[in-house]
Amino acid sequence: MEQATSRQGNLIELATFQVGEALCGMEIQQIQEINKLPQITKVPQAPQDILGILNLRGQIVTVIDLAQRLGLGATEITPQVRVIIVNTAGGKVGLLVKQIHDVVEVDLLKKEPAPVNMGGMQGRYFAGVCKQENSLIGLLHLDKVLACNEEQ
Amino acid sequence: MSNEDNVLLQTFVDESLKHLADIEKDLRFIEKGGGDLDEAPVDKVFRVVHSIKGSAGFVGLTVVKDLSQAIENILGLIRGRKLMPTPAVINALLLATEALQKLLVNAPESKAIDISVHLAALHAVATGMVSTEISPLSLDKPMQPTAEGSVSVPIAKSDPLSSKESAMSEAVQTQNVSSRQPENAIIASTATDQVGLDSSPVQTDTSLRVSVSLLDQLMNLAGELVLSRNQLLQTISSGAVHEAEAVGQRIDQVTSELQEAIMLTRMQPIGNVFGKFPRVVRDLSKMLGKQLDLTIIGQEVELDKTIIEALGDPLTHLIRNGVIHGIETLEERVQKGKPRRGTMLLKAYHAAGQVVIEIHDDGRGVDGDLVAATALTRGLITAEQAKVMSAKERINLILLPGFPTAPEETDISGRGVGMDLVKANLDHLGGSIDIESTVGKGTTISIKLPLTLAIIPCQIIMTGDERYAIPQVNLEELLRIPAAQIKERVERVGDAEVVRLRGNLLPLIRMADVLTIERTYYDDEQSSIRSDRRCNIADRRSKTTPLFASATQTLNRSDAGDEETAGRHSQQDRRQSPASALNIVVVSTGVMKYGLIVDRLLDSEEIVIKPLGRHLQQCQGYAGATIMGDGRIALILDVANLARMAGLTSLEGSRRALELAEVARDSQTKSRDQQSLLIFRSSSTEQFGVPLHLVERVEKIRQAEIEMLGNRRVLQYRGGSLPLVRLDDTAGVLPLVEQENLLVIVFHLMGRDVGLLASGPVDAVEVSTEIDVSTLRQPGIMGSAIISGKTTLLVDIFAIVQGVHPEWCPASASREEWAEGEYSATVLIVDDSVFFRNQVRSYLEEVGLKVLEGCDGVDAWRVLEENAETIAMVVTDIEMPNMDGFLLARKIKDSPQYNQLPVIALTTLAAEEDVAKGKAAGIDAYHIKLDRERLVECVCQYLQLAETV
Repeated sequence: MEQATSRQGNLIELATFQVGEALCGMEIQQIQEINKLPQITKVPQAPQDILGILNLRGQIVTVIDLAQRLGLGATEITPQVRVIIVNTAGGKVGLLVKQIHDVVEVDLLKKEPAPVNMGGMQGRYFAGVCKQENSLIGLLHLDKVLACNEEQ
Repeated sequence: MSNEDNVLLQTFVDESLKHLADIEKDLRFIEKGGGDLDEAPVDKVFRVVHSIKGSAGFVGLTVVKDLSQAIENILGLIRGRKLMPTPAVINALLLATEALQKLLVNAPESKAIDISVHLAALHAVATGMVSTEISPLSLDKPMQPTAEGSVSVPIAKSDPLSSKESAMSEAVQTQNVSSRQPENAIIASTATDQVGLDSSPVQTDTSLRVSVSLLDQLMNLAGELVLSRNQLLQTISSGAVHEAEAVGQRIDQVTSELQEAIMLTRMQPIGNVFGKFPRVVRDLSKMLGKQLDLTIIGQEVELDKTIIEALGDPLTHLIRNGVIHGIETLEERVQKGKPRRGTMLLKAYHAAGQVVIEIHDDGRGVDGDLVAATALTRGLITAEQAKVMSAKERINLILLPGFPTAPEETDISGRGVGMDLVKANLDHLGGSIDIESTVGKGTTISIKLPLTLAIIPCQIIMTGDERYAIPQVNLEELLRIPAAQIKERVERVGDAEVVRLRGNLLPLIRMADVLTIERTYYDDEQSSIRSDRRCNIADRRSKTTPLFASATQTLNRSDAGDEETAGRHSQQDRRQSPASALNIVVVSTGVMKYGLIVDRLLDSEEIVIKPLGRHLQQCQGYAGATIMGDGRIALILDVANLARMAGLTSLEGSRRALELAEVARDSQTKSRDQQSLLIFRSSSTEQFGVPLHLVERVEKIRQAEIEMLGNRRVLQYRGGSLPLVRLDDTAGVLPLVEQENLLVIVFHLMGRDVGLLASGPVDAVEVSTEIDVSTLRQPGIMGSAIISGKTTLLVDIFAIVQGVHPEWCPASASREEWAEGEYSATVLIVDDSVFFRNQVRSYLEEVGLKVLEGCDGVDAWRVLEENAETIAMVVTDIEMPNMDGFLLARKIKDSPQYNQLPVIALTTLAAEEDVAKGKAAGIDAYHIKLDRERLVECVCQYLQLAETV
């Protein structure tokens, strides 16, 4: 009985997407919406990993190139790229990803600690990895990814 | 303790706690910097502690005052680089500020709290004997009563709440060590209070009182909006396009009304802030033994809530400064022969869409020279800078951080630090501050504030394919320099580019460079954006100069790759095309003015400011962003920070500012005789010029639009008839060219509009060339000059109009009057320009006055002495060598013999400041060069006055 609930409670839905060559995921609850890349306004002098700002129904949202943020090269803009809008304590932020994949259900109990390096990205950005049948999903630690530069 | 006192105390405590809230972070930051000191956070912490010290003295919290004084001393040492902010030092400061917070929370009982431990620790730090008891972070034994330093360890790592708790318990223990038992209980009990208080940061009011009628209005408008929306939906589904227009208008109207009404809910009377000042002034003056009255005007002026809230601090500081340092002591006033009671005036009013707050006192004033000298000794400015500064700039130096104002220290405002805090606060609100002062007479501080921070009018500009908004508050003017003139108007001074603007030099900043984006320019003809490869704006690559020719060749070669196909119009051509004209936005930041070079100038729009996300906070150049009509985003520029990023600062900066100032002086001497002329033609060959300031407008018309009534020509114009004259009506020049398209230059003369028929091309030029007033003179032509290689006749438009319509001229009437009265007064004309002297002479002689001339102030004084009996009036220029118009006026008004003599200033400078300066110097009237009609009228008026007297 107790085991059953705990298993139930540890099942979460992950939205998965591709950053560089790696498959990453975050809990679907953290995501407000996923959009195609709209008109972006460039911000001169902004940090390199910031693509620009976009107008989300009257709100100004900063768009971060996730790949660049995680230490990979800039994401090439293709028709497949998407902007994931996430709600954070400091307001909404948009994350540019190479491609969106499925929503998968994973068991948090089966989560394993992240390796030091994952597809060229530092392990500290990940809360852990979840094994799927034929893939490995890096679970993004959103707070660490979005922490402002001063700590980096 | 009275209720009023309680309120005062509470305000002080709230304010101070708010200020202390993030001091820890700043201290940590200073510590991190170590020997490599960043002054900004030190200044900030210093100001916070300083203002607490000041206020504490005022509300009688002596213990708080003592502790903050001790903290301030240490910070002063750090700021002066006499003390390294080592971890030990910072630790002592952290502990002391924490104790300060505790004292404040428990303000009424603070006197009974023992702070000797902290004082001793701080004293030890100050004298360089860092006590081991305080400093070692390594003594990691959190709850050990003696090791005070240990509490800092958890602060640095753990979350705020638990660190506060441990700090608290430590504090209690510290107190336990001290001998005073009864107070310990109080501290212990308040400790928990503070934890509660701190976990929810101190905030300003989050609720607002709004009148029901306003709310009803809002409701009503919201209803209207819904109706309009329904209409819009209907129109769209029915596809009736012409109706959509009407609906669009309606929505436009409703939304703007709604916007206004919502803004109104945020407006609060400024009296909310002013209210506390009578008491502040009364208490303070009583304490200092001064007598003074405070008058408050304009309590009802309304401002946005956020602005009102943020105004409290800076205004209090200014008022206190005024009472303490501005108004003299009783004895001093008596000695100086001033009224015993000093007066202070606090006034708020609307002006040009802004709210102006003026604080005036009739005290001792600020001595600019003394200020400059102090700034010099403090190393805030260099000796060269001090030399070239104007009196006003000197006074405004007291706004620099770290500037002491009062020669002696007083209990309350200490060393007068805080003007920089005031300025920082106001900058933050988008306001500006300006100080004017006369030694011995008093000081006026004017603060200009925007009505609201939420919606602001902006100029939209474009650079590098993105739009940007520049707040109208910062906007002075827009300037477009045609490609052909760039060479002569843009110059280089050192590494800076400057443009000549009405005789002054304006530093230029290329927006693309500051933001480090690719330089581009907008090609009007092809509506495209192209990259710009010029390094200098005024690149003088002329083929005749071998030096530049080689540069051109190499440049062409390097361009060849991508320019070949696009048709090499050659670099030269492109620069001469209209596309490479310079678009300059002249902006002012309060302290300074500069020109921002942008690709395109677009419309001016009202925009809603939206904040940028936290990831972009480090970008200094922007004040926010806004969403444009098409849904795209434009960044709002922070012009003050842009200037800083470009290394352009008027006070702090340097060689560059100095060089600019020198060149500006040079150019001023050169431009003294500069005259702006409108150049046009009448026949196709002769070129004419007329003073630009006389011209109201230039309109294009067709020949067929001219109506003949008798022998008079008129044009239907703005719902009336505009009389038209031709140059050849009066002057002996070639007749007006017969062509379909003509120009009408509209003048406003003798109380009416008159049009002069002319033909193009027209151009506005600034000339300083010698004007020949004799050779080609004739009725309607006042003289000639060589302008851009062509003899140009200067039109005397008065004479032309008078020739056609003699009945209009009021001067002819007064001439008869004078003649009848057989009275002919003598007027002294003072001007260093022969041209202007002759001009004015002719005007005045025409109305029957006698004229004497002086070529500068010194000369004029000599003439005046020689003809003391006859001279009835002085008409003087302002800018003159040897003795300028201000000095002359002052000399005249100060002499008992001539002080009744009216003095009229005739000048090209007529900024409000100049007018005020003139008035102060005793000038009776001010006239712009050369409005004959007003001048003559004014002269007659003053002569009549003088006569009746």
